[in-house]
Amino acid sequence: MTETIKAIIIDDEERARRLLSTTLTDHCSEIEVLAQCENVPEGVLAINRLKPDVVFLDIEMPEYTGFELLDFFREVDFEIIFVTAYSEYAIQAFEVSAIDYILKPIRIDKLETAVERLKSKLSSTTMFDRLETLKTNLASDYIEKIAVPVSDGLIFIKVNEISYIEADGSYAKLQLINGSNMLISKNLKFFKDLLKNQNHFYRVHRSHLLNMHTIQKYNRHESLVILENGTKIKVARDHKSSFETALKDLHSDS
Amino acid sequence: MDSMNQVIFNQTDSTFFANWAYTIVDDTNFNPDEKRQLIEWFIIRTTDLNQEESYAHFRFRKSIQKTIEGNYKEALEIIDEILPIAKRYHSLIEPGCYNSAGGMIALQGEPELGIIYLKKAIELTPTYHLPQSKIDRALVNHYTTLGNIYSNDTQLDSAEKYVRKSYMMAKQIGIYGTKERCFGVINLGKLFYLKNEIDSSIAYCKKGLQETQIRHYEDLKCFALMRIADGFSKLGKYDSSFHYYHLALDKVKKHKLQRLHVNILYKLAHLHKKLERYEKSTIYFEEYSKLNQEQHKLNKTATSNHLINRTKEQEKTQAKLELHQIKVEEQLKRQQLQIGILTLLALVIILGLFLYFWYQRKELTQQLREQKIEKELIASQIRAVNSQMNPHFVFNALNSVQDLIIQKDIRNSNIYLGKFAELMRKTLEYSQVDTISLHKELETTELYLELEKLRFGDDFEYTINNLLSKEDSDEIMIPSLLLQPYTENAIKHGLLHKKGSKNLKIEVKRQDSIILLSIEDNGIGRQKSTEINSRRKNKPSSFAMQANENRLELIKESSGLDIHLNIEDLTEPTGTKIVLKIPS
Repeated sequence: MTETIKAIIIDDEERARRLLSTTLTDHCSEIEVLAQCENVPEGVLAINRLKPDVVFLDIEMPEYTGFELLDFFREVDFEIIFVTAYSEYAIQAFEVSAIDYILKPIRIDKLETAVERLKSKLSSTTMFDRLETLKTNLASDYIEKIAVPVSDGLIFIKVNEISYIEADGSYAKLQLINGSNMLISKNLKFFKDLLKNQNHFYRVHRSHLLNMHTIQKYNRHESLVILENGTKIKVARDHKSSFETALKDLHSDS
Repeated sequence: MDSMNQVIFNQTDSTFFANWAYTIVDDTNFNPDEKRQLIEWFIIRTTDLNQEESYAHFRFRKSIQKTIEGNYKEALEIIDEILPIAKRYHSLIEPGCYNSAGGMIALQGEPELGIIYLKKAIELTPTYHLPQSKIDRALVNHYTTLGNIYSNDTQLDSAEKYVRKSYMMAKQIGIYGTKERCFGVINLGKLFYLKNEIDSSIAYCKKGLQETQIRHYEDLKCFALMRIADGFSKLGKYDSSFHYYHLALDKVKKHKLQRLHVNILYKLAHLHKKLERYEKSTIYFEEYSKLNQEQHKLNKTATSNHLINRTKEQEKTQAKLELHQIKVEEQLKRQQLQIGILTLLALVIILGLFLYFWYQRKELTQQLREQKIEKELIASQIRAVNSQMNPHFVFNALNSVQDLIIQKDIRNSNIYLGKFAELMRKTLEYSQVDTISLHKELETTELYLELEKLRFGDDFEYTINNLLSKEDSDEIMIPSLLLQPYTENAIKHGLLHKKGSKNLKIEVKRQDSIILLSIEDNGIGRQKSTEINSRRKNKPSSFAMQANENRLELIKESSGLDIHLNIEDLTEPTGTKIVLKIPS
């Protein structure tokens, strides 16, 4: 018999609470719903009393939103799975912040996957940082910070600290300005979409997404970009002219 | 005198020079010849120094000398020359000129004109801002001359009046009025003579002679001597008379006082004739007529000619000037007219261009504006659709339906899913049109509220109270999806945050020609809602109120339908009441 996962549901709509609770009971037997709360303060009391492993948290609620739950805790030692009717844009912010979520109306299979992920979950010690990252990203017009999973947990990186991202099959190698790098199980397309509103990131080559702020020199004849750390990156021939325009625009902007 | 010449021509300081020169000329230590010389020098020097005013002064002095000499022509010419200068500098010479000219004109047989000139001089003199003594001296002179004119014209009363006046005034002036006083005494003597009071006449003239004794008033001396002789002649004391005549004759010859010379010769001739000394009389007559003719020819013709010429010339010049002025005025008028026409033309053209561009611009702006309004209207309509189909509502509603499914409430699952589909369908349909009937709008709103009630459960109550007739509801057209954003607002910002019973009341009624559409909630109120929203920094902004008001503006601009919005904050219980006033 697997270990029970203690859960609390916080949602202002009774019907939504009942739906989630029923679905979890019927399809995710390892979850035990300890309490259902209709607002954040009630939820805080329940969490403190019942010490759950996971909180299913609605976002749009009267008075306090789901995000404001964070303000009631100095440390968060439970997982949070947001249950939201949010739009696509917000979903991206969840993903890069390594915050799990399920969308309303609830799909049973998605819920099961979320619970599966929960079981193999990385330590919830980073929950606080992940929530902070989420809040930062939601408050901004574009993604500012991303939570990158590494072997022993998560690293939070400001996108402006990235020098370039190199494709490596279905993985991506993040090269940071400080010299370190990391392999992430997301493809380059993911990052390209992520950073599409930040025009100083430019895909110079099929395999390279480049932070143009870190360019030290551009050799036009050889179509070669030399970065501050000495790395040389080739600019694809068919990207050359648009890259040059982008480079010019960037410098005229700043 | 030569050293004097040196001094005069070495003077370069013009102001100093002028004052100094006046003093020198007035100095009684110089005899008439010397004075004549001095005046000539000063005239030259003032010309050199370009001192017009002083020049005029000395020219005037010269004119007086010429008058005494009997050369009226030159004297008048000089006056002619300097009168404009005197006028320009507002100099005391101006009345002086009138005096001098008046005296001469009177002697030329026009006493009336002379009197007019003198009166003008008298009138003018006190207007100068000069020391009183100077003014008084000038007045004394004028009175004297006027008195003389009257006496020569045998208007003895007036003559006495002015002669006495001048004498009294001269006495008051003191030292500077000495010459005038002397002249006054002699003139009084003359007056007594004319009045046949010969003893008094002789006494006054002797007194005058005595007073002039120590001074170089040679003309006065001659004058006095002649008058004494006249008196003695009248008294029959011919020896004394001849004595004085000859004394006078010597002096006038010496000092070239031509006028008196002629007078004395005439008198001597007559006296000799009276005494039947025809030989002597003839000699004097010949001498007289020669000198007189000389002088007379020179003066009478010249002066009268001069006067006539002057008048004619003045008239001519005046006429010329007037003609010129008329011409100039006409030209000016023509020019003004031309300028006026041109200016008007230019203005019309500018105005035309301005209007043309303004109109074009206006048309263009109007087009742009219309396009912009249309665009914004579409945008606002889209926002209305968005609010009806906003993901939060849509997915939460679906979530509620899903709950019905999970709860195995098949009937309600079916009904609510159908209602949801109907709402979506209508929203899509109405978003394609500008206006829908009030009835349809209320129908859609009710559908929306039913689905919201499914979400919020029993706490949420709504009523839609339509007090309009069915015909009205069907006929009155309102902008599509007008109500939706306000209804959503009431739920989202008012009722959602409220614990316990949540009531929404929609009422439609008619007030005269206006349809009143009210949406009332018992939510937390606008102020508290704003507080909550401002605290939620991370919350994506969805406050649609501003957008709604913009839409009303746009509707007004595009269709002229002026929908008035009134928001009322309710207290006890709290809440918000929105009233839309729609003209029908």
